[in-house]
Amino acid sequence: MALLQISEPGLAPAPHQRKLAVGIDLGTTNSLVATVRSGGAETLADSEGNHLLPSVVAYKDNDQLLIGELARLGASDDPLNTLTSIKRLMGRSQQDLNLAHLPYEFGEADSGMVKIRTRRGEVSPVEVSAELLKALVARGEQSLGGELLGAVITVPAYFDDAQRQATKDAAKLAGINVLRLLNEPTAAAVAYGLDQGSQGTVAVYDLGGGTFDVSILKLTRGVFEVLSTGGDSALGGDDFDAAIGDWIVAQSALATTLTPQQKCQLAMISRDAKEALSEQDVVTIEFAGWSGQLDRQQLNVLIDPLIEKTLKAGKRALRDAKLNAVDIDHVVLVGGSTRTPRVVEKVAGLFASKPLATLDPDRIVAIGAAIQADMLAGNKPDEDILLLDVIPLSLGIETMGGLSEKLINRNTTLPVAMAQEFTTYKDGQTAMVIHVVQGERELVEDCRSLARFELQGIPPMVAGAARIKVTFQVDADGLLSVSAREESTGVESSIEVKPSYGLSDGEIASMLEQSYQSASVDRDARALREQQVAADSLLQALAAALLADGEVLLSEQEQKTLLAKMEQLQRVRDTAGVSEITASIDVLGRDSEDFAARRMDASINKALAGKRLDELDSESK
Amino acid sequence: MSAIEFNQDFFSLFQLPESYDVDGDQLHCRYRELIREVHPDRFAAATDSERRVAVQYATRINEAFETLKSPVSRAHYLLSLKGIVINPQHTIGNDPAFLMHQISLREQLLELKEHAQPELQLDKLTGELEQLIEHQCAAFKNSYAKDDFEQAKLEVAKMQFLFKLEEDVEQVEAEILDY
Repeated sequence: MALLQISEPGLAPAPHQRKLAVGIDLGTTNSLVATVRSGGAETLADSEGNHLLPSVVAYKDNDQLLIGELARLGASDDPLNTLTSIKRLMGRSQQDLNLAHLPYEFGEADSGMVKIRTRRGEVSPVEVSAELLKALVARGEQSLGGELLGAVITVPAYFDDAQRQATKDAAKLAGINVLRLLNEPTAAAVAYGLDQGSQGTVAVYDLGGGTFDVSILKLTRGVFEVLSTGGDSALGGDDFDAAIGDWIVAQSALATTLTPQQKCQLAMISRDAKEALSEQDVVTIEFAGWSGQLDRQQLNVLIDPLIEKTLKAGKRALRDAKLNAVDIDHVVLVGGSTRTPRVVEKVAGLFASKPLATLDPDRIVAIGAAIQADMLAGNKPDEDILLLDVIPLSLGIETMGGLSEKLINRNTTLPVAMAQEFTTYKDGQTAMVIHVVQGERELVEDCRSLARFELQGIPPMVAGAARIKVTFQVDADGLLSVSAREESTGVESSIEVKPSYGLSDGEIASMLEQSYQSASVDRDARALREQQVAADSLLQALAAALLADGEVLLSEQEQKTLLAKMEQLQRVRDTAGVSEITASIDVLGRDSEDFAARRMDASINKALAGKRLDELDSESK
Repeated sequence: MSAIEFNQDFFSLFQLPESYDVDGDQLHCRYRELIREVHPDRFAAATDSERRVAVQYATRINEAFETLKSPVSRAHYLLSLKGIVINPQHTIGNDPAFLMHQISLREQLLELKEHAQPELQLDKLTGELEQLIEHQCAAFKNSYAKDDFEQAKLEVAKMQFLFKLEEDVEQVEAEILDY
């Protein structure tokens, strides 16, 4: 028996009115934007016909900004102001990074996110990524001929909370409505899943320019369940290049301190050599007056230790999924670095199966993201795909002695929440600090510190009497939020966890302000317009919901009350300013939550009505 | 039409009988049906309040699924439905034989790394542990079915011992195989 189709509340577009949404693969080396048009998903080209946008931003004289290929071409002439592989710096502080290979000058080292000194002043990786995102969205709007409803942006599955938050901040700064942060391997599986209608267990091996992921997924009638994920968010083709570069320096017996120009040149030469060796057996290299040959065998010696690291992560992912290599039905290769023959050979060996390679490894992630964006925009009410991602790294809190106590284990399906009770250890204690970390190791210092947040206003009591319940919620995007409540008195304080190296809302606001000034856009008018649109869509959604289910699910009085509140918002929307509209939207949103919950219950009941367990059971066979 | 209330117990939510025996396929299948309806992705274009509700519901369904899937937390949960709460200090009671066996298994685990063929030894230990766990789950099931909750409490505590040991074995396995 097929599932009954229930249209989503507020998500029933008029026929033929297609909502524009794109999928964005924000890569270390290259980025892409894709969309679903006339049934098929495709990547979008710029006016020159190029699909790949090199992930390079150059800050030139006279406030000129170059993005993509133009920026990349000038990289070795102006390395300090041409920013490449910026994804590797997202959500990272200076202490986290090995900066030796990077030709940039950095701002003062502190615990915050790394800043790069350019002729435009200090810029953060979030700002640089926002420039790339803006260029991709502009390309999308130009080729689709309209404003976008939103975008699905992909991130490595192994990205931690700080890296995900930084990506979302970049989107916010670029003015993009993020429909979902989607894990790259999941996106790849979606692209293959739809093309081939495949069922079974899939291993996705994704080796990009600067990040590596491996995920094991189970596909069952449109549900993509991630069973396990592993990887290294700082390992990729760039490291292959660096290994080649080190070899060249050693061979040529050059001085070890290279100028920024030379570093940049060396990286390019190394990359060209690596790419050439995918096609041929030997390549001639010239660098700074030195000339020599690199053959494939030597290349393999250089990169095998790096590939070995990826294979170990693959084995661990299998083990976490409680599977053996023979249980894997398909292997999918993603990322430009899987063009290296040695990688393919080794991966095929690990999973004892020939990898699928019918889709372009550079484009597959963007294609999958576009399919998901199209679904989330509500363009495909008949298709039933659901992507269930997991949290890639365990989440814990610091306890006595600098140990991490795990609250949520890695590979738990999202969304997930966990509550923990704390108490005071001194008489009259009114505040406490909770330190949230992410990682598998036992010592806090070996894990990644996500945030310290202070819980204030605990009523003074004797030590051990307070009961403070802290709830850690990780949403479908893998982003953490924390709320706390003192249970014995019911004082609630809700705290959004701000990673110490993330951007505060104030910082985002001031960056937005700057960008509006330089673009001379009337920011107030734009903000007002945005809030009016938000009010309109809430009112429309509620009106549709009332029409559909109001009579059945609400009493006459409840309907009247809700209608009156809607009229109130309508009045505010038509007459008041930004902050009042925002506040009213919030109020109506909360007031209609109970109605939303009743509708959710009803829609589940409808979907499952008449569907007995033996039927569910027989479908699974 | 029977209403699905989200504050009902996990077994009712999954339309399963309240029992230690759970059909894994049935559980998984029902999970997919439920999560399909409430996952926040189904509400990407909906109002904020609907999205908040969806996150809460999906979180609860994930929690229910995890609880019913795991042999230990399922046992804990069954007892909690009978009003029996097991605190972490709860012991396995007076059972020196069980404790001695545990100590011997722990010793084997400690000596593993020095062993000439650690992988073979690991397989042996893993095999033995799996059997013990199976046996222990059966023991719980038995006591629970007979409404002997005091005995069931002791069996859960033993089960916990074994699963903790299994976790530690996996940790050592990771070190030996160098993942």
